[in-house]
Amino acid sequence: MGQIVNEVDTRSRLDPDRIKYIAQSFAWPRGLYWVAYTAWFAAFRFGRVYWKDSEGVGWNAVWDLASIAVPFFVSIIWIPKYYTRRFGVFRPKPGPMPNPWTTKQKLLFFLILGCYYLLGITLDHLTHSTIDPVLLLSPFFLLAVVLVDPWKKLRSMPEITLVVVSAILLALVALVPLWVPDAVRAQAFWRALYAATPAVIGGLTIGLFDHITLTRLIPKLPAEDDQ
Amino acid sequence: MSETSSQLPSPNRLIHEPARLAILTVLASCAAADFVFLQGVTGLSKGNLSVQLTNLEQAGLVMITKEIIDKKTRTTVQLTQQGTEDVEQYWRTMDEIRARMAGTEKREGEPSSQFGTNPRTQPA
Repeated sequence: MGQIVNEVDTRSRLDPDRIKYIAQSFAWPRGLYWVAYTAWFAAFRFGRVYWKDSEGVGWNAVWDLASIAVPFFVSIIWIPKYYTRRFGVFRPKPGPMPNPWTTKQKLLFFLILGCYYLLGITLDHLTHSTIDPVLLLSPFFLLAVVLVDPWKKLRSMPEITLVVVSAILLALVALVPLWVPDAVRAQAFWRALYAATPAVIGGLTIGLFDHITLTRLIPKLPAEDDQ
Repeated sequence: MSETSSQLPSPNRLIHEPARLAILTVLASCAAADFVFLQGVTGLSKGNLSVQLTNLEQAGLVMITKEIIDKKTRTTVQLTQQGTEDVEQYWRTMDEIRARMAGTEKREGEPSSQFGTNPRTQPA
């Protein structure tokens, strides 16, 4: 089937993996929805740490309200409209979607997760550095998760670049105490960034990763005058 | 080889055409999809997609619904019961052809078949 190429209009290939990925992407909130949800979480965590140390008490409440309201409206108004305009309407089949993860991939994922935490805890006990070992290992975790991705075949350079850049940024955040001593303890900004980092790992990168794949698999068609 | 080829089952010609096969494969993966979505996924031009959908509707394989949303017409397409059955049958036929060809090639020591695989029987 991968070899069956549409000979009439050659802009697209009839690849079963591509169609399965698209069907699954539209079956539940993914891509930009994850970006909106995790942006809220990151902003909320950031506010909790940052505004706590600030002078203006009222800012805390304003920040909390804005960090919930903005992503909420974006996810219920802007994102559905954008998806409809950009990709059209897709109504998923009723019932559960087939799980793309094989047993091997699931086992590998949990193995990576287990090793990640064990290594983090061990490093924490062994070192007396101000660097957070769990945060320091997070870039490797991010790269490892991408390695067990069931849709690995469909990913391309932009997605891989995004993950590598995110991994480098995470590593830089983790290593901040090396060149700014006690930054994470003394400065609210760095403490807040540390607190918000898990959201960056969990949602923003993966959400954008998914969205870039989707926009690449369903390219924007050139405008036609024939209709 | 020629003996085997003469015995091969014939796939449904209406479905076998690449543009229509692309449309039906996308529709088989969902409950319904609109014109914009089908155009994006299949990569067909508006004119071609429109013609192919009309052909499929006339053959009773798809059902087309038009509705006005925000002063714009939205064309929604879904497979009919007959369409679902015919697509399933088409892939069964293709699997059968591929299996027979693979058997023949194995006997003759030739490389693997050029035919595609049924997306419904492939593991995700």
